Amino acid sequence: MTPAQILLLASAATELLSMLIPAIQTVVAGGTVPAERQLAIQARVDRLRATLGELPAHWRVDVPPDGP
Amino acid sequence: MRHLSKLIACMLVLIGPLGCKTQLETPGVYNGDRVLYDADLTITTAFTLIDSVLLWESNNRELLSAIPEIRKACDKIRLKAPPILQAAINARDAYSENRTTENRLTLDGALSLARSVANDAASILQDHGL
Repeated sequence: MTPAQILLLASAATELLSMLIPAIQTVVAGGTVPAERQLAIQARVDRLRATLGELPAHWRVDVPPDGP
Repeated sequence: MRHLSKLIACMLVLIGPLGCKTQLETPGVYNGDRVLYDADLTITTAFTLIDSVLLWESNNRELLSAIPEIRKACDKIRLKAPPILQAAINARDAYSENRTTENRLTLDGALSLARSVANDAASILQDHGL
């Protein structure tokens, strides 16, 4: 890889980290879980049911035109 | 960048069977049931982690073409993860309906698979020094 590609990859990794921060915050939160947060987590499971029924584009495997 | 995969590995440990020492405020939607709460936290965190890695790979596909193994590994997860996550939700629902030992064991097994596939996603980063 060229130095430019390595820098871009580092930037992409940073982007991934920023995407994960909300999940990390939820997991590491200790103490007593307030009722509102419990409701929010249960709502996330309900949204996930719908998401698994119709997966977003980035979850699809693109088969090349000349076959798998 | 190696810290990224370590951070994700820590996250997976935190959603593991031991969980973090938290208590649930009552009344709440879980009625104080840590098993169900932990299950939902594990399922949603595993999905978020996997989704983030797949979206990241999709958004950076041109750049990541320098490392074709990343796309291959992501494509494997694209095929493997949905039925595993669905099975975890089904097991969670079955346990919620009927809190038997058998349903609890099925749930534990399904959550273990969900953690495993999330770990596969994190491994993609680790295997490539991210």
